[in-house]
Amino acid sequence: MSARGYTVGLLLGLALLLAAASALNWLVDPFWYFRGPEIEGFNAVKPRFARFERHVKPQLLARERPQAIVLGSSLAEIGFDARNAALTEGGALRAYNFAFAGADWDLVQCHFDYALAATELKRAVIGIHPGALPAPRDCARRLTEISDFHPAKLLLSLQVLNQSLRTILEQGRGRSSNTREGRYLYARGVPGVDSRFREFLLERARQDPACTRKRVPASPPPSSAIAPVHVAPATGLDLSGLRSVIRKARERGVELRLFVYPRHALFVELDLLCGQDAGRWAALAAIARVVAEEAPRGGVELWDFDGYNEVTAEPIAGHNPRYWQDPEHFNFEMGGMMLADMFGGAPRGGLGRRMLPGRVDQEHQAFLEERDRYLANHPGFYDDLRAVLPKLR
Amino acid sequence: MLFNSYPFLFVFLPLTLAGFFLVARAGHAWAAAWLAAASFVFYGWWNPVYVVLLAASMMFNFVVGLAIVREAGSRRAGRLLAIGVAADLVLLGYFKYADFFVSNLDYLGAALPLPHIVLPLGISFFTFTQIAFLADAYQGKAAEYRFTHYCLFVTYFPHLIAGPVLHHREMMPQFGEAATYRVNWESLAVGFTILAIGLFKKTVLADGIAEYARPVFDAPARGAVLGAVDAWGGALAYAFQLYFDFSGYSDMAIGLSRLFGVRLPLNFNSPYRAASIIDFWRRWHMTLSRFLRDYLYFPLGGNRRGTARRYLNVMVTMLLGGLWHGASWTFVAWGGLHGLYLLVNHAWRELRVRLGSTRPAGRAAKTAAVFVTFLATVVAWVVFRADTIEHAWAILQAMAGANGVTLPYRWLDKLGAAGTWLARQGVQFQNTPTFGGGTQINWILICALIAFAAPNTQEILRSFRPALGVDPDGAAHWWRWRPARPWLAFAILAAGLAVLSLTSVSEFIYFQF
Repeated sequence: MSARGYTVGLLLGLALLLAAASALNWLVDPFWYFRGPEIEGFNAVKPRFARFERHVKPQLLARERPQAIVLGSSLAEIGFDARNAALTEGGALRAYNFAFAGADWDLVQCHFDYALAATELKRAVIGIHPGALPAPRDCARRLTEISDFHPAKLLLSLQVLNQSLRTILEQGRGRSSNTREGRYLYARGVPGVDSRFREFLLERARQDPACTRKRVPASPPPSSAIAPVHVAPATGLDLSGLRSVIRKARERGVELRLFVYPRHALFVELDLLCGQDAGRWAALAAIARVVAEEAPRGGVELWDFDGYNEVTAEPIAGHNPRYWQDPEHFNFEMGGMMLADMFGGAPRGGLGRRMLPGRVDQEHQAFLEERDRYLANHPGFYDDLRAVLPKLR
Repeated sequence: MLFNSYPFLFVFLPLTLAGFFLVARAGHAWAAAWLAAASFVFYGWWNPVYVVLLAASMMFNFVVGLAIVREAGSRRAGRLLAIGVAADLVLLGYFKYADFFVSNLDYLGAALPLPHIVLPLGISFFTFTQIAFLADAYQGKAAEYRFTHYCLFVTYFPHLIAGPVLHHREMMPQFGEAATYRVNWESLAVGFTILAIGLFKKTVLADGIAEYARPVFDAPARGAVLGAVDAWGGALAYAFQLYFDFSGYSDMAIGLSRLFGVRLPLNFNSPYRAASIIDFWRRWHMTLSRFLRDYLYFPLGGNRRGTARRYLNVMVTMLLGGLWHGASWTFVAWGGLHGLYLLVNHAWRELRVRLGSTRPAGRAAKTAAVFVTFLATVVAWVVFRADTIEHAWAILQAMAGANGVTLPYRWLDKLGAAGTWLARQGVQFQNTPTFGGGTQINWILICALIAFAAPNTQEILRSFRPALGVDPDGAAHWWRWRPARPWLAFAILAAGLAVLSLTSVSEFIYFQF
């Protein structure tokens, strides 16, 4: 072989190899980025999306430019279907679930800023935990996967080629990790919900220094014995990040719904038994006050969905739950009810309480009365609690 | 611009290469000017402002070099040499060491503000290259003084960012040869093959194993306590990351230069196969070792002034060599550690001579020597890579077993009775973010196999004299490269995998919420 033939062959061969790899990555499209043909048994199922969503979701958001988004951690990513009629005003708005597994409050704010810059947002739903909600430290550093992105990375990449091949091989799983609209399926349909409840609640009880009880009581203690009578707003909480988010939403005319991540009633009851109720409601009162201060003319609402009802207290042990995957991760069926409550869709979910600063005390009382009523009518609830949580510590 | 980037590989290189041979039809000087101009673009891609610095440094040294030649043999030539070298060192000191110097003064209580000077890329290389030029001019070793060629000699993009450190006398004759400016298919075939191998080493091997080194060296800053396996895993991963990074870069530089028909000096010759630290420094960053020997160790007196002075000269050379790598005490400590190794090595050799031991070492002894040399090098790399001396010490303590041994949890089952026995001996079985388990071990083994047992690039392409300092050898080995289909397939695969590994899309594995 001549040196000339070798050189030309090397350059041509390299070009062909790169073209073939790029074509396969484009065709398989393991991260649903290019949105080309979807062929059953070849690439219709996208099991590898979840692990690379932080690269792809922001790009899809910028390209699809939804008018309504959901932001938050995996709890929001699993719990809301972006096609929900209440969220989309019956299909009038394009919506996308822009929540991310593992996203902390810092990252949620960065994603909100990014969404404001990349879309013409009209509506946003943001999940929060009741507590400090400070301003983000450095969004540029947190979002390098957005600033460093280039579509060529999804074509000319050995790593993506590996994911493409795995996508083809994993078609037999029959299920993508996410829906096309960004909802994460997580452990949906995977057996062992009660063991996930047990592990989660036991770990929670172990790690909670306030949880000094050794055992779940034989019968539920009355609310008056385990919860404070009045709620005073928490002082000293850094809510500067929340203030900033609300201001930005108001400036851009974005209808904002803040919701506190709901918990299964077993989890709520555990926190009550461990004396955590007061702190949570004090934080809620402080957050409600900030919302009222920053958005006195409305447009921003704070909602809480903890409660004792057929949905939040859905039986777990020995059942196949419809609404819950573990004590924190709720399914989109429950998310749909929450959206209906927050946006006034029909039928109303009837699960939530809108938190207004002057009514937090009353809402707390209503919550405790609901608890007492529900436990009186459902003596099996404590059996369930003992079944998933034989010991508190 | 980096060699391992799309703009370089798919825009800069094709345009520069095609332009070079096209412009060469109009005249060799034009082609040399084209290549120098392209090298300025290559350098300015990173920060256009520093092109001025590079040009000013080049003009200054050229003028001083000419003046030295004009004044050859007079005292004035010596003074000009001193002025030129001092100016180069001041420039290097200002841009590379000002922050380091001020922060040390601050540590002693000076309370001066840090100047925060951005380090111009490659300043150490183009400064050292030109100091060598001035010294060669003074000694009458630099023979050719065409400005275009000098400009190309300094800015030549294959060596500009990370070496090798060039000698005027080994490059200028090549820039003057008519053959350099004609398309040479053999040079193109050899050059592209070496480039493909170098890219593969860098993007597939070095970048691939890097993910196992980073968490370990970041751990002390987080306050994390490392087990012995984690610490050794990280240290070995870094040793091979650095090896393939530098080896890959050196190959790419040689391959790129060969595309233009120019041979660069060999800079890297399987250093982990060295059977002593003295041997290691003859194989690792060879052109820097040569520079430090010729322009620092020899002027200090070398070995001509007795054993004690020789050891002092070795130590001073290695300490300054360490500091050359970066403005930090960790680099000084690394240089000092290697200086110490060299002293022990020299002392051992002298002891053997005194004891009359002239028998060559057997195979087992050689293997043991290679192993010990490698271990000593790995220990020194920990100091080289760590953020601070304290962090290096923490990792070295962990390697020595101060924090016990931790193995991945799943190994407890896999090891069976042995796992139970190990657990009883105090070995902890739990997953840590600093050890990648079997995958990391496989990476280390593959890298070790290539570094210790596989022929290196120069050996593979030896028949075609890939670099200066490599004599052609037509010995028949099945692994000797030649333009043939199997090698073509190998080169396409290596280049393809390398290009496909240029970018990575990091996987987010946070799934515990």
